[in-house]
Formats: sequence, structure tokens, C-alpha cells
Amino acid sequence: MSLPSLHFFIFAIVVFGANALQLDRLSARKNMLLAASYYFYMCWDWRFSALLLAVACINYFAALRIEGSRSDAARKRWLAFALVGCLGLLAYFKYANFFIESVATLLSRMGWHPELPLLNVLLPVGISFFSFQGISYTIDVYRRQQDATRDFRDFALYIAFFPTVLSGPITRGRQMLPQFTSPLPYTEERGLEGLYLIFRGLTKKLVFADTLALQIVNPAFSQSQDYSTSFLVIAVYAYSLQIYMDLSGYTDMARGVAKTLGFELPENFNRPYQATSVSNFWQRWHISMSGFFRDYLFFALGGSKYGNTYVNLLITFAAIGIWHGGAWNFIVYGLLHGLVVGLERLLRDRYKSWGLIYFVDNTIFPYFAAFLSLNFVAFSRVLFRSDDLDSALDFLAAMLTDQGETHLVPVLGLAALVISIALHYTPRDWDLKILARFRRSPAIVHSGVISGVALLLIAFSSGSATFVYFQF
Amino acid sequence: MSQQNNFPHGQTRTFSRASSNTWLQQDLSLASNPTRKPLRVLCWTICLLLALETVLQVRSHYRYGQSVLNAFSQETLYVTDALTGLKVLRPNHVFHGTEVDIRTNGLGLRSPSISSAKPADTLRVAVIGASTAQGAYARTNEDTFVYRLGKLLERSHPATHIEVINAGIAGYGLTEQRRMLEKIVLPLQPDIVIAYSGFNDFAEYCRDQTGETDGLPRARRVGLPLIEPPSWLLAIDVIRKNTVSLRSSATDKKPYRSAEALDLTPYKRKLDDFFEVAKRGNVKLVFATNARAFRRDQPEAEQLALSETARYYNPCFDLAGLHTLHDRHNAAILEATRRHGAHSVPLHDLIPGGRRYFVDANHFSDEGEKSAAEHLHRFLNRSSLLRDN
Repeated sequence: MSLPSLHFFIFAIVVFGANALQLDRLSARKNMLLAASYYFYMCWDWRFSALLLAVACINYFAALRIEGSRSDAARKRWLAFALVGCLGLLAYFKYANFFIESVATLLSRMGWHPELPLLNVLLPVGISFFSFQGISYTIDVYRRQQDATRDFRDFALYIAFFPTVLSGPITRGRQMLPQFTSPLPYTEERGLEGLYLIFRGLTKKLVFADTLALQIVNPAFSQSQDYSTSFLVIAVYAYSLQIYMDLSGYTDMARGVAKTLGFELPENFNRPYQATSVSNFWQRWHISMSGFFRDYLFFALGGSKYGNTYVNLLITFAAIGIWHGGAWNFIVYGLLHGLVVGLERLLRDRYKSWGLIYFVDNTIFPYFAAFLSLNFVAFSRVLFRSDDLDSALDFLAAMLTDQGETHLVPVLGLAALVISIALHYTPRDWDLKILARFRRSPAIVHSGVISGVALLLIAFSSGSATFVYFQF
Repeated sequence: MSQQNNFPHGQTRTFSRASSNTWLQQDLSLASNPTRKPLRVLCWTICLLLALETVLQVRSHYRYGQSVLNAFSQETLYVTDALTGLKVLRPNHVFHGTEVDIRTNGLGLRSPSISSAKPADTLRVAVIGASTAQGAYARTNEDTFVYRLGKLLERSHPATHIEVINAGIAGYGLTEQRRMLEKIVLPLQPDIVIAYSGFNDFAEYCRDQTGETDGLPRARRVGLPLIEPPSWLLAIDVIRKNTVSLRSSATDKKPYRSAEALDLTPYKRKLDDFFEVAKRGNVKLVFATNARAFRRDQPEAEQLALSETARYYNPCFDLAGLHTLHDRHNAAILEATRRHGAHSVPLHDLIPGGRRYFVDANHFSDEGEKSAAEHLHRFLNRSSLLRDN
């Protein structure tokens, strides 16, 4: 069930109505939300609902055992059980073919040419997100940062909660489980803010992300040799905005739907292209994912206190890369970012001793650093967008040789690009003011705006059910 | 004296006993109706969208005599013929609007009544096809090229009693047209059958492109059934038909199918079947090629504008692909007519493109209807087909 679809619209209204009628009956409300979440997921593929249940069961029981165990060895055993279970599922569905192909390539370079069969499996949508939610909860219980819940229904709802199950945000148990136990008081403001977020997200996705993809990004990346350097450079920036509009649009919708039901999800983006460093970019981009890797991998490796910080950073960023998909281009992408974040750390620690104090303390430096960071992020995403390393190199070669004949960017694509940039760099309080004005206006004005946007979305909707991050 | 009330997640609120009643009242009124405004917004939104749909349905009813209400009043434009199983127009009916005036005969065709037995000394010509033959944008029956052809024939052959039957039904592909020929037209003993097959067969190329690629079966998602927007919802239809350019790219070739690489064997087989049925029915068959509004020699922006409906109905082809597809289909028609010893009229060459002759990508304007009738008439006059009867 695609979010921008009539089916989802009807589903959301039914769930909203049922939720509104049961605000005072918590148990019934949770039963309804759990059933709705499983129904939503089963619309994508009913067979994989068993995976949702499996992830819920593994982590629920492991967490209870961890909490109940007295010895550290037993706690570790149960943690390992949960990690192996969740990461095993993820490895089988997401990385098995990558490993088979990599082994086959390695063997063929050694002179052997075995025919290793690839698995004909579908990637269960959202598996990277809900399995990480399960893992984060179990690790939190292991670290004694959270109590294990006794209520399996609450935990199953946390794993399968339909606004987040497909593409995050990757929530923590301590963020969601208390809301299921004692929900926040439902307020009119939250409901209206939810509606605003839903339509803002839909507009980001259908009007901006899809138009940028169709008019600029997809042509440039599928036939890079046909395009001039200027077109390809614009495509690189357009892709950065496309992927931002895509995932932040989804997050807006997820947060909006959750708000209309009376729940709060964490923010996932904070104007990432205004970052003044690559490290700062990762604090603003897909915050729930980067936060997961920081808390559960980087810190587990020793962070900046134990071991070699730079090696820890490289491992963490390589993992971030591979989380996006089993392919070498993602790993190289992650390593590149890890390398630059490490360099920034080195610079931060040593700039005084290196005599860069005048340069770094200059008022222009933040702007220069923001410009540099933006360009590093945008151009490294050539690796992210390409199917493999070879395609990425082909794209860069086409960009450097300027052999293509197409120079002109389609007007519609250019308009989407310019407006996307303008929206990204508008002050944050403008958004808040619009939201406040939206909340204050009468119901009929809300409806007029929503109806108008809905019609605009029908015009722009390509009918595609997928968001970029559904493949991760 | 004050009291502290504990709220979930550490929120606390302090209030004095004196003001507690007011506070409680406010809080209760909020608590009892926190979903009222969001619900009201949703209701208003649904009402506004329904109002828009109602306006469009009323407009459609006013203009074309057709709306969703027809389904409830058993007045739909199309029905399934119980005997043949074919979709035909509702028999013996008048569909009246400001833009159209469709009168149907007892067979469910946009033609005057016709006797099942052909009277002596009568020349019967039947035109088989889809929406263009039916006259999708022809205001009255008399504006269709089929009717105009009849009038031209009457004028040029005053001594002969000529009946021209319009057997075009919107949405028909070649298979339905063959069945129309077999089940409805041939029993009327026509002397000449003219086929203007149209482009509905293109739709099959865009259906289900998933499944197998590189010869390897791909695993598929098995989801629960989804609710699709109903086809009668005009708001979606009107918006999407008029905004194809927003969803298509002139530069991106990847999402489109290659019209060059398409296997036309199934289409050619359908053509052969059609010719075989005509041969068995012992009728003289004239097959007209399909004309289109967008031409390669027009500026690209004009081609894109003129091809908008074709791109809407065939979203898996870009402009160049549609040109190729039209040309290949027309070439297949010409080749089949040669092979089967039938006659062909190259309407794709004879009728110029552009807005003057077409309302959209493929349907004739009034000028187009006139032009098609004249070209067919000219062909029939020059050929021996009329003399032989």
C-alpha cells in the first residue's frame, strides 16, 4: 500500500476514526493499532509479516531474559541471541547475494570459476528499519538504559507501528513504549500539526523528489554519456535534493500520521545541507539512523575513549554505507565519509598547533566549511546513486570529459530544483510560523488547502509506490 | 492551598482549589473533543472533494449526457450484448448533452435502424473500429465520418440505395473488432467492410512489464488486495489526462519501452484473423491505416502537446516510441492487406496532423471527420469496389 494512494487515504481515515473513538480505551486502541499495522505491512507482502513477528518475539524474549539474568555471561548470551537473530535475518535477505557475488569474484580472480547460485529472494520492505528498532531495544535493556517491557502487545506494536515500519524514523523503545503505556494527552493542535506534516511530506515527495528524479537525475544517471558536464553537475545537486525531499517527505508523513493518532515520533532531519562540516551533516541527516550507529556501534567499539578513534569511525561509516545496500559502492561511500569525518576530527584537535587558527577563526570560515561540506556530500553521492562502482566511475568520467550534447535542463526540473533549494535555506521559523497560522485558521481553510494540495498531488503522482529508502 | 496533578512523562500542573473548577471544565471540554477540529477538517476535505467530483459529474452529464448517475438509473452508455457477449452502445437510446447527441439503433450501434435482411438493390457498407470510428468527439451521429461517407456516396451514386453502418465501439481492440465483424456485421450481409482499427491494441504493451527480465524469473511481492480509484472518478481522470507533461520526461529514456524491439507477431496474428473472417464472410475489405495528430515534422513542443492523451494511455512509451509504434502498426496493416489481397487507404498519410484535424492525439475534430470521409469516399470512387456491386 503506497502512502500516496487512495487505499492509504481510506486506511488512514478508518484508523484515525477508530483511534478517535477509542481515546479512552487504551487496550482497544492498541489492539486496533496493532491489527492496522500488520494489515498495512501485509498489503506490501503478507508473507513477510512473519518476519515482523519474528523480530518482535526474538527481542521481546531476549530482553526479558537479559533483565532476568544475574550473570553477565547469561546476559551476553541472550544479547548475542537477539543480535544473531536480527542481523541473521538482515544478512540473509539483504546481503546474501552480495556475499555470494563477492566470493565468486574473489575466486575467479584466483583462477577458479565456480558457479555459485544467487538467491531469488525479495528484500522485505522496511527490514533494515524494524530489525534495527528491535536491536536498539535489546541493547538498551542490556545496557540497563531501559526496562524490559512485559507487554508483548506493546512491543509488537513498537516493532510494527505502521507509520515507521517501512522507512523509519528508527525509533527507540524508550521513545515509543512509554507512549503506548500511557499515551500523551490527545490535543487538537497535535492532530492539526499531523495533517500539516502529512501534506507537507506528500508535496516534498510527489512534487519535488519525483520531478527532480524524472526530469534531471534519472536521465543523467542512466545515460551520463549523453549529457554535458554542466547538466551532470546540476544532476549531482539535484540528486542530493531529491533524496532529501524523498526521505524527509516520508518522515514528515510518518510523523504526521503518528501525530494524528496521538503519538510523537522523533525528527529525522535538520536542514542537513546547512551543515558546517561532514560530521555536522551526519548530526542533521537521517538522525535516527546515524544516531543508531553512533550509540550502538561507534560507542560499542570504544568511541573516542577506547581504541583508535579513527579506526572506530571508519568501521562505523563503513557499516552505515553497507546498511544502505550490499554493494561496494555503498561501502566506499561510507568509508569516504568516515575518512573525512576523521580528518575533521584531526583538524579540530590540531588546528591551533598547525597554525590554522587565523583561517579557522575567521568569520568566513563557517560559510566556506558549509560550501565544502555540501559539495563533498553531493559529489560522494554519485557512489550512492550509481548501481555499482563501475557506473559511478562512468558517471564521473562523463562529467570530466564533457562529451554529451544535452546541456539544457528541462524547465520543470529546474523549477523543482530552484524551489527545493529555496525551501531548504529558508529560516526554520518561517516553517513554524506557517504551521502556527495553519493551526489557527478555520477548518474550512484547512480543508481548502488540503484539497488543493491533494489535487496537485494527483497531477504529479507518477503512480510509483516506492520511496528511495524503501530499497534499504 | 494548592495541589499538584501528575501527568504522564513528568508533566506537572499546579492549580489552586479556587480555580480548579474552571480549569477542570476547560480541560474536560478539551479532553472530550480533542479530535473535533481534525475530524471537521477531514469531513470538510471529503465534502470539498466530493463537491468537485459532483461538479465534474454534472458537467459531464450536461455536456455528454453521461455521469455516474447513469449507472444507478440503468442508463449507462455501454451494455454487454447478451447474444454476442460484446460491449455495445445501449440499444435504441438517445444520449443527449450540449457536446454530444448519440442516437443508437437496436443493435447498439451509432447508426440509424437497419433491417437484418439486406433489401434488394442496396449497397451496404459497414465501418468497423473503435472510438474514432464511433465518433468520440462528433457531436451528432451526422457529424461522424461514417455518416458523412454515406452522404458522399449517396450524392455520387444517386441511383443506388446506400446504407452505411457505423460499427465502431470505443475501447475495441482488433480482437473485439473481429468478433463484431463475425457476430454482428456479417449477418447484416454488407458488401464492403471498412476497418479503421485505432490504437487500443497499444495498451497491451504497457500492461505488466514486470516479471521476467534477462530470462530469469523474478520473485514477486504477494500483498493483500488494494483499493484502486474507480474508473468513473472524473476528478482523477480529468486532472491526470491534462497533466501528462508533469509526469513525463523528454530526456529520460530508461523508463520507456523500446518500440523498435517490440514483437508485433501477436498484433499481426490478430490482423490475419480479422482478414480471414472477412474472407469467410465474402465481403470486400478495405483497411484504413490509423492517422494521428502528432507528426515528426512538427516542432517537439507541439508534438508533445498533441501526443498528451496517447502518452496518458500508453505511459510506457515516450514520444519517439509512439511514433515508431504507430508507424510499425500501420506498416503491419499495409503488409497484411497486401498479403490478403485486400484494399488499403493510407489515412495516416492523407490526413495531416495538428489541432485542425484532431481533438487529441488520435480522435478526429470536425475537420478530421470530414477529411476522413472524403478520403474514403475518393478511394471507393476510384476503386472498382462500388462498380462491382
